[in-house]
Amino acid sequence: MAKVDQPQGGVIIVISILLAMVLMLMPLPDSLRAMRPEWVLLTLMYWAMALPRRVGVGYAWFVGLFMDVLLGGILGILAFAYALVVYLILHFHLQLRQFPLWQQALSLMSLILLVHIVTVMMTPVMTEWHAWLPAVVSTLLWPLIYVFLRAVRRTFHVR
Amino acid sequence: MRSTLSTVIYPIQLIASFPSDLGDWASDYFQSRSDLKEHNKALAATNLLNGVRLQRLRALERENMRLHELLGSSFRLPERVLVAELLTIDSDPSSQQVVINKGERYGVFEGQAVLDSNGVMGQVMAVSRFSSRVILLTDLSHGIPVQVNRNGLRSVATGRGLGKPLQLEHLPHNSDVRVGDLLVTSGLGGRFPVGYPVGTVGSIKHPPGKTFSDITIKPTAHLETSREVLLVLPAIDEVDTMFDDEEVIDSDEAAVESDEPVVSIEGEGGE
Repeated sequence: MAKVDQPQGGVIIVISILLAMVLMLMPLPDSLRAMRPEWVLLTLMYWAMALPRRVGVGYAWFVGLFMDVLLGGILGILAFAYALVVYLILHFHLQLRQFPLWQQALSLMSLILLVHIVTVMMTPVMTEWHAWLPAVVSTLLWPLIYVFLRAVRRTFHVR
Repeated sequence: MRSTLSTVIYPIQLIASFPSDLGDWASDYFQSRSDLKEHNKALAATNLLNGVRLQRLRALERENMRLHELLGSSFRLPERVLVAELLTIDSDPSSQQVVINKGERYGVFEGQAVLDSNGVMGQVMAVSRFSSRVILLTDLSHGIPVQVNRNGLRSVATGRGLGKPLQLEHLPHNSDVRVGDLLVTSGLGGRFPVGYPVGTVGSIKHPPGKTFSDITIKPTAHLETSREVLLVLPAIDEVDTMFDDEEVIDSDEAAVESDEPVVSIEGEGGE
């Protein structure tokens, strides 16, 4: 039984987050650009929910910092937002795990919206309504991502 | 801090831009011979025209310098440019930024002016070792000092966001601006070099009850389509120490070895 407690597969977590970052940067046609799902945030939320001991607030903060640099925003905004979201997930992860997928998606939508509220509040620029589209698209994608990452976690025995 | 982090994440950006680069490469590779020949012919024709114009420009530049000397005022040193390529990656959709593939290693610095072949595109905002981030004219937080080419009227053009024209700030209703006027950089503020085209006046409105008129400007640079950009280097004497010898070449060699990253756009003193 001692073996089960050993952390394992940290590389898989890092790789999945790196892939999500690439997806965030991938150029999209202008019509779809406003609807880009929050790949990194979704991946981070999954790992925080599944392995709260591995992916914590500090982890999220660093990922957010890298995202700030990648997207060219003001340093620290996404770092703070991601850390806040992961903190809330860690707090509620036992409840979130019990929810059916659609309910989980809806609860996570509130967290994604939280990230958007933080970024919108921090940017001096007036945003238009389609700034909120990614939150909706991400919510719709959550079940797929959940199932996919769960399969990844089980295949590679990440714990 | 930011520059170190940007250096670390450069591989991620490269990977993200890889698929579209591959697409470009494929369409380049499978171009038909007749297309290429036609393209080549067109380029040769433009080159000829540009060559003729350049001859006149050299003479004019020389004359300009002499006149400036006669007046006892300082003349402009010739500027040179560094060619860089855009990475095809998206940024934060609320801001207008692009990433280019030249960084500190090539002497790119913050605030450096960025042009394409038609006009000013923007300026360098952050530099890392291998790449730098350029803020475009259309970004909401960007302003550029300009003057009307026809009469030297000075103003500031500010960005209004993606796909929208620039706006000319703080010009009263009676100022002498006409639709179609060319605006060039005024060089005030010391960031942008003097005399590069920024845009043409698209529309002028005089909203009643407002102190200033509402003037929109269409940028001359192809902000959405340009893949190659030019970074303006400051006057020659200061730069030479910053580069290895093989990176910087003189204007005469530039005509021969056009692959080199640094070329000069104006002759050194017109020789």
